[in-house]
Amino acid sequence: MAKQQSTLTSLWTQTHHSNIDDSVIILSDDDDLAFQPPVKKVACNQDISVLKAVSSKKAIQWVSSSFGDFEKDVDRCHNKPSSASASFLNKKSTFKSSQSHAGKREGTVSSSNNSSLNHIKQKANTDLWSDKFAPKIQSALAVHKKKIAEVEAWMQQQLIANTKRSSMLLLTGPAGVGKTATVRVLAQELKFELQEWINPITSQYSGTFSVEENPIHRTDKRYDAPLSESQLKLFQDFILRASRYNSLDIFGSNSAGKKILLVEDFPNIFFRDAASFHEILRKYRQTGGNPIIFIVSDSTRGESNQRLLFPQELQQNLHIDNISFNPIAMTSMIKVLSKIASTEAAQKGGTFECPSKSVIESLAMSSAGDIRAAVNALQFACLKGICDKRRDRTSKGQHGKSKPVDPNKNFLKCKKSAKVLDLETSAEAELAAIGGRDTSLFLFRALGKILYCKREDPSTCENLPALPPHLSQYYRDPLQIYPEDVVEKSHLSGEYFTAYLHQNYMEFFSELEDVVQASEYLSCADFLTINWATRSALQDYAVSVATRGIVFCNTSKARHSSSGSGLGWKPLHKPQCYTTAKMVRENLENASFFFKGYSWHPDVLHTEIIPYLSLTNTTLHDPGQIRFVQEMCRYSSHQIKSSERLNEQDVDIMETEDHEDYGMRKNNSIGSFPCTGMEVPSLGLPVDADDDIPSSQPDVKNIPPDDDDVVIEDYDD
Amino acid sequence: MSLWVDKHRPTSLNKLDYHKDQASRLKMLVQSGDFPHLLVYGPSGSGKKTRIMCLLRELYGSGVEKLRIEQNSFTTPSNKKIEISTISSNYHIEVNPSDAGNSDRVVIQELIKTVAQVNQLETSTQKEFKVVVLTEVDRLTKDAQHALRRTMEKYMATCRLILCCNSTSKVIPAIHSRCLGIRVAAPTIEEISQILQSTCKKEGLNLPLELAKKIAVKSNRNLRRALLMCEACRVQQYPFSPDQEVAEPDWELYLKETAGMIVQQQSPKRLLEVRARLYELLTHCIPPDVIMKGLLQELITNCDGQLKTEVVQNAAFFEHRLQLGQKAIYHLEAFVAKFMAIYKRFFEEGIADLF
Repeated sequence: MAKQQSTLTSLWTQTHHSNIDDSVIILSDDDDLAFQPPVKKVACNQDISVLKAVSSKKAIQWVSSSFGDFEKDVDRCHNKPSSASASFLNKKSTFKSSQSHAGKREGTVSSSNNSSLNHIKQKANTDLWSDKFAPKIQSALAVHKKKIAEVEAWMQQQLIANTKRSSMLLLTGPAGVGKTATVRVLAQELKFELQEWINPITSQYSGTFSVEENPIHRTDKRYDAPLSESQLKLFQDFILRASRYNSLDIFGSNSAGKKILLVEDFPNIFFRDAASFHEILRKYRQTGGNPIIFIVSDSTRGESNQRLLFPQELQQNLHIDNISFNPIAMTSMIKVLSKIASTEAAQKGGTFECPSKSVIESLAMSSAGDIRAAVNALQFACLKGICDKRRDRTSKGQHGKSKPVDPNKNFLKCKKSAKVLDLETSAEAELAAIGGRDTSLFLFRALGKILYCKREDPSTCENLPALPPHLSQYYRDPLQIYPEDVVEKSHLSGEYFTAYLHQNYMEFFSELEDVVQASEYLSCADFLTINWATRSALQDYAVSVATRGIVFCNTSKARHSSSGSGLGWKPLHKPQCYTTAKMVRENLENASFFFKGYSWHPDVLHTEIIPYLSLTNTTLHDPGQIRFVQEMCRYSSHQIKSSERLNEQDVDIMETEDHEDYGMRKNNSIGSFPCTGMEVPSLGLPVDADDDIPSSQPDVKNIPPDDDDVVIEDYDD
Repeated sequence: MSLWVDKHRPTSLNKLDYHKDQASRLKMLVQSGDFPHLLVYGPSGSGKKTRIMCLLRELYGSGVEKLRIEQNSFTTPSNKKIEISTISSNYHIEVNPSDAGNSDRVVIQELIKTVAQVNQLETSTQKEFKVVVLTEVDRLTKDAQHALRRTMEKYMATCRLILCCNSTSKVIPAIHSRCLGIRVAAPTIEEISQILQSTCKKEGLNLPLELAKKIAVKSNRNLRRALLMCEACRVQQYPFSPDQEVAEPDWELYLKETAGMIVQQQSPKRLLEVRARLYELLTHCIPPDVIMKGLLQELITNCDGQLKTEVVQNAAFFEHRLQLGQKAIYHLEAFVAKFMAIYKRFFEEGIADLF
């Protein structure tokens, strides 16, 4: 036991000579207890040291962010207590080690050194390539040139313009398309100082913990105290103050350049309470200061942060520029990936197996424009190559058990040994499993895929089943897409997707016969889901019928060569049937509100009573009734209301909107009549609706209201 | 506001203008002291509700005319709140359960239970049961209808049901057989024109018989409609002239225009325009089946004999789907497209035959 203890202490002191602090360890007096944690701590300390080295190196390469000096600062802070503790420890350890054999100690130290070296090597291998090969110059960026130019133009404008009002830029786009990288690279090139907001880790619980456990930590708590302020407050302070004060010029950073604030990491509170965020922005806009860049990643799901944090009207009010990034193009992605692979191969020499071109291509394909994911997938894929090599070597018995085996690799190894089949195909499948992610499509593109239905050249495909001659009219070239796949990727329920298709399919058809068939397929799709008990199950089939029906029926696009002929770009619209349904519901509700004294069925009310009310000179007591009747009898004969256009990045949020709107209307409709987008003439007196109101209207006003033969007492409370 | 339809509604069984034989039988039924559940059915505007109110008045006296509107709220097992407005007197309650949509079963069960559990105040002078009038029974879900069957038997002692619907085809046989069916047929043209004339007399107007006939024909044997048309004619022109135009509601004119557009040209572009007009109609709360019917009636006049059967067959096909489906516009559009195709083909063949 004593031996063990001594070796551990020596190991411990050894690591503490490398200036890494762990003050917790010192504090417990009980040796037996104290020695349990250090073993773990050592390992993790080493991790930290390696990571620190890498990250600080990175910071220098990358861009000297204002937090770079913060990191150094942290290091410095850590240095002091750690050196103190080290000296304290040294005493302790010398006291302990005096009891143990020196030779033994020597041995353990060397071995520990060895292992730590190994560890560093290992780390360097597994450092994320997306960080390692992060672009440093503008030409290395995989982002489209135009986008870079746009951002650059904005930044240069900030450099020149010295306005009081601070300008803001909002960068949007899917994750991993190089938004942050672009900003960093450009900031470096234009000599901007980048100050980034990073959500602080609130130390509330650790504070209470330390109070209970050890009294010395109480002093630390004083430093924690400002951190336990609300994130909102901190963020506000950051935004408002960061621009005021220059960073201290201790470390010789280029503080001469202008500063740009970068906010990518929004405090969580703003997602719940976006209004306070808007408030801070307004305040900032007014007080002025350095330009801010916000980066928000899109998502194809409904809960878009951009909508929440930067609603359209806020963007307009505060003149926030918006630049949206597109997914990285395949060609530039492949270029970057192969470049990384080749540099890596050059660095590693013989041990590294450069992945083949097809592998890189399939990786790029499966990453769906996310370059970060693609690079990481590439790294992972190459790792497997190494692993294979290593396995070969271990089987030859050249290498011992010295190298630790990652569980992941182990898993892959098992998989590999299980599959000794065709190497190429299995590799492909596995790559998809590595780099592939669930790709998704924006609604706009999903609809386009169905409606434009691109087809493949049949000569390139083999083994196409041939149709007998009498069915040749039904021949279509093979599709490039799988309709079901498209629907699935659109993240929309089948019903909604069909509604969108229905709204838009007609413009893509030129033959009436085709439209007849397509509309019948849509009708079938609806008919399939009539039974609510089986609806959820049949929904998929229904949407399949609808999409495939529409694709099939469009005979003008039956051949691959005919696709896109004479069609060009067409705008897509949001389905009218939901807005119509909403308006019907509203109108019905209003009708039953205004005419609740009369027990007519809604059908009768709308097809008979209300139309004739407008034709007869009946006195209506309620101005709301008069307006309602007028409105319900006005038909737009020529002007066709075009429904809302669909934007490229729109996601379907109709359902929620619908619901909110519905509730709001319901409240409004009590007492006042909601005038939904239609022109409502001023009270009682028609402005432009002479034909709607009988000519005897003035006389009618003088007629006292007759007593109804049905006395209705209104107990409505 | 009082339309002639309300103002001159007969209030007792004696005053009813037609089906007098049936009225006297109903009177006998009431006088016998007790009566079974009733199922009153007949086309729209034939006077079902009028007859029911007369019957209630016969049962309880003028007290049933003191009506009040109440908002009842029910909670479904899934904790969804439903608001239903009912019209009730001390003796009866009228409710349209189809307002509740899918959860009409809850409404029916709860409502009848609450009504039936409270006994009449004075059983000595009054009838010992209350009446629940359910309208649009044919729109009830099957679920609700089955629930109704059980409820009917359970609360027979304290309440009677009067069910009111247009057609019994959607009422399950179990309910049909538990009720005494009373069919109220639509009044004949002669009956309508007589009523119109007598109504005008009450208003102090003189209605020529020709115009009365014209209105009656145009109203499609719907008395309510005939009265409304007559009143519209009065506003349009008085004194009446026998050859004056009978005003039609705006939506019908609009629908006719739409049908005209379909016949005029058959192309996807035109279909798109028609779709916009269909949406417009739907927005104005015109029920899709009414639109379908109106369209067919207009379109069929432009067709030749052989074509008619094909068009009607297709209309029936899509109307069936429309009744069952959720998205009316799909089926309406499919029908219009089909008609366009049929009509175009017919037209092209006709031209080919010419040469």
